[in-house]
Amino acid sequence: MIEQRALTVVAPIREGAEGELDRLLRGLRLGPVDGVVLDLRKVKSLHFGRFVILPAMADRGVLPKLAFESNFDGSLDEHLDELYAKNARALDRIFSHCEGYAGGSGFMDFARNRSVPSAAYYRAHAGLGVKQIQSDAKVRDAIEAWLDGEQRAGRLEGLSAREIRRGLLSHLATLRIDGDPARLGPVERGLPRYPRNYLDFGLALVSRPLRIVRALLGARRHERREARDWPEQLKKLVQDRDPLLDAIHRSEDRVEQNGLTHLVPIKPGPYRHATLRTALWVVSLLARFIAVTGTLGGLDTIHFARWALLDDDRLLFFSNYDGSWEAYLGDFIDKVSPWLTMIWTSTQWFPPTRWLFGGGAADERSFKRWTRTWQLENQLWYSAYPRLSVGAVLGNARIREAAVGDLDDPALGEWLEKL
Amino acid sequence: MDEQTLSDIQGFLLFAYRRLPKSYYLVLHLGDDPGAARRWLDRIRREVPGSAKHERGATKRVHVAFTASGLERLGVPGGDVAAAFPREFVLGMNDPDRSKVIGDQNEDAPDNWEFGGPETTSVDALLLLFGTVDSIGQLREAQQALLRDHGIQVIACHETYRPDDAREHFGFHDGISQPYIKGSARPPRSGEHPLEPGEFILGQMNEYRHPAACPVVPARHVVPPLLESGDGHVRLGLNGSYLVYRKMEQDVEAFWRYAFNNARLTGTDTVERAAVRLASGLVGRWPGGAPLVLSPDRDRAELSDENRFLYRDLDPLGHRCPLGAHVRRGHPRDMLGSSAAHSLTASSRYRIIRRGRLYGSRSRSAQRRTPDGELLGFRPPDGADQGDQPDEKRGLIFIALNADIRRQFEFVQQTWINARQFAGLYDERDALVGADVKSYRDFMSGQDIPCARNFTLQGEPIRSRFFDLPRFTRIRGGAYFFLPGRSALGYLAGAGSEQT
Repeated sequence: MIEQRALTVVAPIREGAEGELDRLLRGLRLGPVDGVVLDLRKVKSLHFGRFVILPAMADRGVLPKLAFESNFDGSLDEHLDELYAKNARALDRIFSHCEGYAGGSGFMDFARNRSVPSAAYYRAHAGLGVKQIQSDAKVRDAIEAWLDGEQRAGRLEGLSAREIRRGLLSHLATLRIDGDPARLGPVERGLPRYPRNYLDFGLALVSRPLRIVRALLGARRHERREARDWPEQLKKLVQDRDPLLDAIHRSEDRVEQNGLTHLVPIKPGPYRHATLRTALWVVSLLARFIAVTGTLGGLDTIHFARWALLDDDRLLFFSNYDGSWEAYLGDFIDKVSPWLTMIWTSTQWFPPTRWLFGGGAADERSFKRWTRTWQLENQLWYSAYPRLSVGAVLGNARIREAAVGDLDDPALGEWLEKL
Repeated sequence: MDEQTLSDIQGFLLFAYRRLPKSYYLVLHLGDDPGAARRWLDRIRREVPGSAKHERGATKRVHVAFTASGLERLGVPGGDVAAAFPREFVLGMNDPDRSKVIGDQNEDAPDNWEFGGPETTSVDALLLLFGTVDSIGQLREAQQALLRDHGIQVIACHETYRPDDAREHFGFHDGISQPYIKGSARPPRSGEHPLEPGEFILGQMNEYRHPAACPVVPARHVVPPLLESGDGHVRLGLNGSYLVYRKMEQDVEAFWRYAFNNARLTGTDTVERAAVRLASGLVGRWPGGAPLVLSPDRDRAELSDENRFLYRDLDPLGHRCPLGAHVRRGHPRDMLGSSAAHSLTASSRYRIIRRGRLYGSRSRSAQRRTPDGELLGFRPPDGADQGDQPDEKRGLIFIALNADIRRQFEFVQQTWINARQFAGLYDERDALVGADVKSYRDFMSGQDIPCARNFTLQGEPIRSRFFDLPRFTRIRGGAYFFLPGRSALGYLAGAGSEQT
């Protein structure tokens, strides 16, 4: 079974090296820089990755940092090994802009020591490795191509579903993907089982009742006070025409997937820190037990998302999603606004909230402006399968799963319908 | 909405003027004298009708809208416009980011436009004139004289019309599904889902239970009472809307040639029937308007205006109406994702009011009928009929009205019309109006990867696919306009005073 895992490396940038690092990363996105190439496609364990520079906070003495995100298959050691083996020069070049980077054999230790755990991690297609996803897409393409060819030659006319399937399976038996026979049939994905998962979720929740009670008890008192500050905070949110947003708009929608990076300071005080941790813990349980089959409360366009708490009192959010920002945020608001509100209500300038869940992200315009305010442009963002939506990844997997053995008639019809 | 609000809203927002079938749309450049532009506006604004009941029934209508540069040329400082109005309106439809979002690529790119492109004369205003066969000529002459007198340049004059049979050039009954606005004077037709006014009218409550963003700018002169915001500002957006204007050329002959050449004969079908069947599959309605999902086998006159239908229960797999049909992509109703409720919510967030009208003469391709009036389609060019003149241009002036261009019009274009993997499809775009994207640049490898213009017809036991469809439509120009409320027109005209 393949486990998808998250790695977040956050490392302070050497003083004065930020501009150069920015240029380097942008350059590597487009091609070789001084003969150095970053080719993430060679890293077969990598689903999505990004490099992004986290800005300094002068008033708090926080230096700019480099963040590296990876969603990968297998163990961390193997992933780091592979990353470095395939891109040693580029990684040395990039991380040499960070404090304390020794290079060479130091990369693995550096990455491990600077890694920040995910406070909540969501995966839409858990258990499906990069190789599997890419292979499934090739199987799908081969099936479509075979059907097209047979149809063009008129060989499918009058055939029943069963006969079409028989022909298709005998074709697939000869199919080779990257030199190997196509891997068909189910793979072990290690998903929690229904309805046991709901029980586990409930048990986990009640195991820490005080956290939840504490968050709820303090909510109204803090929210009322914060609501009074809102009119002033609203003025601080980024204007639609702010030149800072130009670069972000330009960087979006290059393909049909996007990588959102969002970094926001946490509100001061122990109540807000504790509440944020509680909220992230609840969402992490949801992601682990409930939202395991490609949708998060009806939201079905996120491949991977994570929150991480940085030691400089900021909350980092990475998401790799399908389609446009506008569609993504619209989905947030329509489908999961209470959960997001519960988390982000503890961060700076978030729209006023009631009882942790109400308001907040449901205030469409303010929430979108707030999100843009704290959004960062990725210097470099990578997807191993930029042409596949979450729906396509899961659809291809279902086609591959059922591409072996006998099916009864309804299942057979259903299978053919997916093509 | 109360009487005062309705009276402030330009009537074009709420009425399609079916009884005024003739129209001219004049795309204008205002010139450098704000005084002259304001005098012109002050002269015509009194003729601009509102939406209240007592104002209905005239034989002439005048409406006016402005781009961001137009507002500047009327004397609203550019900085004020940029600070108050949304990004996409300020940057304009021809901005490269907008082109990327709405899919105006390659032959649709603004560089190739007849008007509204980055190199052509700046589009400042849009004058919309509606009349009857008898009244329109005089109306147009009178308005053109006023434009001349005030030194305003006509960049393009689009003579448009609403045909008696309400069919667009391909031959299909159009404009059936429209959102119904709560509190508008017109009664809802059956099946119309009522939407909050703020989805279309600035400053009014929208579907998120918040007032739709209403641009507010520092007041430069006396503010009409309705627009006062109390702190030296004017609520310029109040009761206005955004008007998306696109000239979309249609290649009717190519459309029907494709349908005939690719029609698949089944059973006792004639080739005409098979062609109409395929063409209707691309659209999702029969030429007469009957939705395929309700009547998969034939056109039915009694369903020509039918708008009460959903997809999920009746046709989850697209056997009746293909999943990628134009009407599904434009308005997916309950078909998206795993939940009908979520899908209906989404569908109600992204509605637009469409006010399309035709330009150019009707093509013969879409005129052939059986004796009982059924559309036959046309087999060009070696069929029984004569083809159209090759230089005859025709198409649709597409107009959409919405309160948030990004959330509504652009969203529909980007997320539904041009989405390759819309609703479980794998690699296709809207066959009628999808973007001209032949390939995309893989950002890691730098390679160009081809994109297909395919179309899938779902069926039993297996789907069939159509490959590399030609383009049947092409964008020839366009702009984003602000359609102000009538009080705001008064303010923009500088009515009443000088600087305060």
